Amino acid sequence: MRMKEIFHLKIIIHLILLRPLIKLLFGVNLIGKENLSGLNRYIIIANHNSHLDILLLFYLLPHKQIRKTHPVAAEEYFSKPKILYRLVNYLFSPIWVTRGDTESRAECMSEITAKLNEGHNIIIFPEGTRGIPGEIQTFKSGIGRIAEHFPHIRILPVFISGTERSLPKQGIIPVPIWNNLIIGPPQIFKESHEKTTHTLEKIIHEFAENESLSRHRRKQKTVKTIKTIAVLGIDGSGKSTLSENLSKILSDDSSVGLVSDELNFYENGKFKQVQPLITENIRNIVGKYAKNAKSLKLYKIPKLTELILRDILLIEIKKWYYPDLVILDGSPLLNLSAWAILYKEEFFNEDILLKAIKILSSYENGIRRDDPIFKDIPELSALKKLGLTHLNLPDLVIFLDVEPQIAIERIKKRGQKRQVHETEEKLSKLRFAYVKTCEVIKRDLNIPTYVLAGNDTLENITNSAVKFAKSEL
Amino acid sequence: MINDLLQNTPLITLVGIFILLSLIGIISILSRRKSAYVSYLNYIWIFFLILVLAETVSFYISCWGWGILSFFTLREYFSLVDLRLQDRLGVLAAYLSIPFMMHFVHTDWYNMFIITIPVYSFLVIPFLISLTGKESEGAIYSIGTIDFGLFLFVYCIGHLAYLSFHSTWMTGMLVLTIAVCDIISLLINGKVNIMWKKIIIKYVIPIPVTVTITLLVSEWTGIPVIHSVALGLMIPALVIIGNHTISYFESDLGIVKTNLQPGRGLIIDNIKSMLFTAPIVLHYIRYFIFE
Repeated sequence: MRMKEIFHLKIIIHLILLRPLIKLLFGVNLIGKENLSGLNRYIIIANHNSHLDILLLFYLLPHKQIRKTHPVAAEEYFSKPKILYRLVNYLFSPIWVTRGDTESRAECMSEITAKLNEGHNIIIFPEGTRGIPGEIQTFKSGIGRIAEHFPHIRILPVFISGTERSLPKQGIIPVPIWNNLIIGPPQIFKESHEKTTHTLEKIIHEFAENESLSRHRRKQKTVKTIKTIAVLGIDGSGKSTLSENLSKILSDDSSVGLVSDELNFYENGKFKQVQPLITENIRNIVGKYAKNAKSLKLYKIPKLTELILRDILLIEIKKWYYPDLVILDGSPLLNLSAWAILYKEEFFNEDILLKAIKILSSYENGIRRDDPIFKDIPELSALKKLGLTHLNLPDLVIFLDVEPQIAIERIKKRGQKRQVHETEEKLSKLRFAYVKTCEVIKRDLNIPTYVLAGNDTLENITNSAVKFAKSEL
Repeated sequence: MINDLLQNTPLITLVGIFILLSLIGIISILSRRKSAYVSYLNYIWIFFLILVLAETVSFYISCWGWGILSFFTLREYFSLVDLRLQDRLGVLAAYLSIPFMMHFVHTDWYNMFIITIPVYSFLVIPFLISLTGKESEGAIYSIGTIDFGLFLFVYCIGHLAYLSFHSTWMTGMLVLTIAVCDIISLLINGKVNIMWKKIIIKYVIPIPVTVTITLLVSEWTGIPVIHSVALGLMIPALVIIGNHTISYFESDLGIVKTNLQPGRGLIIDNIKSMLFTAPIVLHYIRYFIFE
């Protein structure tokens, strides 16, 4: 009976074909293999970088357990050529799961339960998918849930390194590079699933850190980073005054550039004279044109141009004057995104907002070309075609939250000619859009954001803004 | 019968050394004790295995043996250095130059063998990197890193292969003398700490042994006595130079001497003294003996 178990075709393929191939072509180093000896029923968790990971994890199994181990795999990756699907199914007998489908997730969970009850082993990549090479993504909570469900089953954390270089996500041809597998001691978790997930992630991170400490590293170029603070707010909220005060105070021990209606520089708390830029002059002309626009439609293009010019100005400031800090009176990127509410209110929601910010700042390439957002908001695709989607994301955002009525009163007091959008209805819409924008960038892009109540005195507002900026910089 | 035996003495000696090294390897596996000497002798065993294969089976197979050895060493080097993901095609091209090189060794096409890597590979690799590379930053570093590894771990080992094409006995003599120098330097390493004393001792002590070896086998290798003595004097010096150079950048590569593992510097550390000696000895022999 035992002999029959060993002489199964699947085990023979693993032992004679796959393992020597991996060993000779790539080379494998197992560190801490003793942690695996004598174990019978366990869950292996590992970081996921490449398709080779699964082969490596099967490399480490004792041959008796090859047939008793099931990785959890996404079906859409392997289902296309049918022969591949069959091959993977035969060699690894995975538990299939369809991504983003709750029904299939529940099915997968019940299958995992069944397999574990049979005394089989499970391999899980808690990151969910192959990420950026060499970086560990946040773990999904599924592993914690399984651990909670089976409090007596041991979990083996395994760190795989080398596969991110030998066959990364975009790679087609594997390149022979030595792989290292660090096998941590098996552990039992009896905490809540969030805590378990977090602990496991920490363990893998520690392995990764130890591994990278010993590795040869090329020297990184050190470039002076210029931080940008964006002050957001509807018209008449006093953001221009706030940003001016802010730049005066923050320039005490550094140099600060202020991009408001005019371009100013401050050093040691004082105004500093600099040579003006041509872009600045063009921006002023376009800005004046926008302010005199008679309808929203006529206002759109000049305002868009002004905002983009403002962004180009930011790049030019960084290029020519390299101050330590740039304070923006309204960030071009965030203003552009928030202003969508005036033109495309029917599409405006948080998802669209995040997508728009990501597209405009080229934050990541995760958004496909045929995404519906390009159809709904044709301006985005136009900007993308023009190559103007490299707007700067600010490092810090301060939002001055003022009631629209107060803002309108302030605008009236100024005595200037009112712009088209400066009505109570439109300003309240804009305010809502800015609040949403702040929420989105704080939650999804991890940019520190501070919401200031605008009905306080100017002194208090300035003080708290300075405090926030100093603590975050 | 005796005549036959006498005619085959070189082969018998070679196989004898091979069996001795195999025994040491088997004993070390059985006793499960790890020491620097044993792991070093295991790598010397690989060299002798390739030589025995060349003499008893065919040179073709031994040629691929050299190729596989340089592939393993190069793979270890590429695993250690920090290359960008964009350089993967260049790395692949570096690996692919091994079969070309070994083919030219096998067909005795000396000119092609000597220019494959310094001309073609060194030109093709930057071109490929320029094709796949997205950003220019770090490109010079990557190209230099790949070229250096290719030169050291393929070109220099290729010279050993070419020497074994000329004569197995010469290669055997070279590997044996290098092994003697290395083992003596392993013995000395912990005991003498002053740099110049260490170098002198490492050079002086092996000389009687190496000169004896080169003189003893001079009849089999066909090297005249005077050149045998010269080689016996030269090889320990080259071993010291090679060892010193490679130890110098070992720690930069992330090789920890106390924790050598395959894939983390074990192969490079064990064959480092061959790398400098092989090309120079080959060209010495080609200049003075074959021309």
